[in-house]
Amino acid sequence: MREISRQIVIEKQSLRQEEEKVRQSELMIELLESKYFVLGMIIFTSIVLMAVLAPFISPYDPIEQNMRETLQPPSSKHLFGTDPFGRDVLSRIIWGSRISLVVGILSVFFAALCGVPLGVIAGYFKGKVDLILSRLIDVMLSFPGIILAIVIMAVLGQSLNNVILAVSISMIPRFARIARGQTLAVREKEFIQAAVSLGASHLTIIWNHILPNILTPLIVQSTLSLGSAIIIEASLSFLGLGVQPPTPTWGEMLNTGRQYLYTAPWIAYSAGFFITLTVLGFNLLGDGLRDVLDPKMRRI
Amino acid sequence: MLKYIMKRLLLAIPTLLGVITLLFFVIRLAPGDPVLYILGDMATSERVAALRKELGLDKPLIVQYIEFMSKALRGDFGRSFSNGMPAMERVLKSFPYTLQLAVLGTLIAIVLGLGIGIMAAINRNSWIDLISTTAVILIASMPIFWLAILLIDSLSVQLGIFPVQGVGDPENPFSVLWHLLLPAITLGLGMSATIARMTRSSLLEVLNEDYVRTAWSKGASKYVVIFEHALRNALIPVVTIIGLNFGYLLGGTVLLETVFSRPGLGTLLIEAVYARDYPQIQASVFFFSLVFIMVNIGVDILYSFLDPRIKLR
Repeated sequence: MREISRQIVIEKQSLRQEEEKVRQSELMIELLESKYFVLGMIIFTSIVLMAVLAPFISPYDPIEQNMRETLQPPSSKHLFGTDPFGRDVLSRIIWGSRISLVVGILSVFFAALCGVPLGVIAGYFKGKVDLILSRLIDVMLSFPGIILAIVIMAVLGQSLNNVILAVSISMIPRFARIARGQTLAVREKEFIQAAVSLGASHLTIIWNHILPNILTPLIVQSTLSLGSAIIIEASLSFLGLGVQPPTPTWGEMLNTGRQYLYTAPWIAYSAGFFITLTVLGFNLLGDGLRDVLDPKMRRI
Repeated sequence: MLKYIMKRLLLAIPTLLGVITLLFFVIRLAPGDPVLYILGDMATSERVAALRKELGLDKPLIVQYIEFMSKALRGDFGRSFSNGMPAMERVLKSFPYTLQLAVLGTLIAIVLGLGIGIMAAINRNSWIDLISTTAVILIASMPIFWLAILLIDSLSVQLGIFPVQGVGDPENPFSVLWHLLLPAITLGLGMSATIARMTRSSLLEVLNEDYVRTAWSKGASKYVVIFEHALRNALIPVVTIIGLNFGYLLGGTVLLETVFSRPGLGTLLIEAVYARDYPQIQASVFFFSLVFIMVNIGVDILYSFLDPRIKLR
């Protein structure tokens, strides 16, 4: 008798695993059918390849100045022309992708790492904990993101680590808010009550039951936030508050290009094009993911 | 209604206290001694001690915090390190420029966003829809300062329609408006992308509702169905988006004031940041968040007018 019931359990488990596999492959097919997702993926992969292969594909040193070749228009020697210091714009674009991607990815990661626990704890425990944490989130939300980042950079000084910190902090509240809202909805579900009545600890419930169920909107938010993070980084560099020169960043190139718009428009246009392309890639990825993972939000 | 507004305003007080607290401590995190920063490394120790006493920096942190808080609540953020003027006074002087830009930018964004969104929804799956959807996705991916540079290059540099920068002659309202127009169009265009997108999807959703079908079957004209039946209901999420994007708008003004060399809160903040003028940074950021909080309350109140089902609690 015990043997039979054991077998049933094993069969059920393998059936469930099969179902999960089918569901995952269906999801994959749907993702690949989404034009937005595929286009976003192509852009994202190209930019990542550009960043990773920078030392091999960059035609010149991005920092080395060449005063004999300042403000050269695009030519076969310098495909995107040169800047006021005679530096090759294409090489600076290629190396600049590293800063954009590193800041984008790491700051979204840290923002989620701080924001999600804040939101989940607030939504799960409700009551006074929620009241205090929500006030904290409100305070952070009452600064427009870029202004918070500007203040943090002003206080901490310019460096790559500080840019990542500033962008992360400015994005914590959006993760906290979504995680809180989702947790509030999930915690009322029956399976949570079942876990509570079985005596599961808070940590087990949060880790095994709440987190997996709020993951989808968080993944979508993370992808969309990558675009915002890259824009905030570029804005800080544009204002002269980002990573210190001569490190190539797209925002700083746009700022330089702005001053030479009449004489050397290729500087601003190259940088502007690549920032827009990268952000577009992440936005399309996010939209594609949202369409597939969250059919309720599907664009009509 | 009045009770709700009072409650929201009261609830904003702890948030504002939190903002002031955060500003106090964030500035204290700055590496280096602000006194040495003001006086320079060559200052004598007597001068340093005297200024430290004058600025109240010799007192315990908690005393400094309480003093800062009580002054800040009265709008006194100290004097600007740069020119000795009260920091809040400078903020209030700059604010009208930012307000002009924000208001005109929002109006342009609403007109453009609603227009494009409605056109796209009515002509769903047509070439109008395709072009506007593509444009919206592209604009939403552009940093606002890049959009500004593109518009300056095409409309000011190439075509010579708008002035490149500045605020114009303050005596001449036409010149002021002329200088304001391009920054406002940039801001409006940037913000219109999200509004257009939300209007389109929200309107399409509403057009599927039973009451819209009823209106069609009654024989109501296209105009009546769309503008009187559908749009009013489709607008509710659009108002949310406008409210949520006000942060984008304020951030946008900071960048646009820099690009167009206009005075305003943003320029004041950026100059203060370069000069490490802490009182000025604190006053400017406090004012930004005050405006932000007030606008959010305003948006919440606006909901209730648009949708009587939303109970103000």
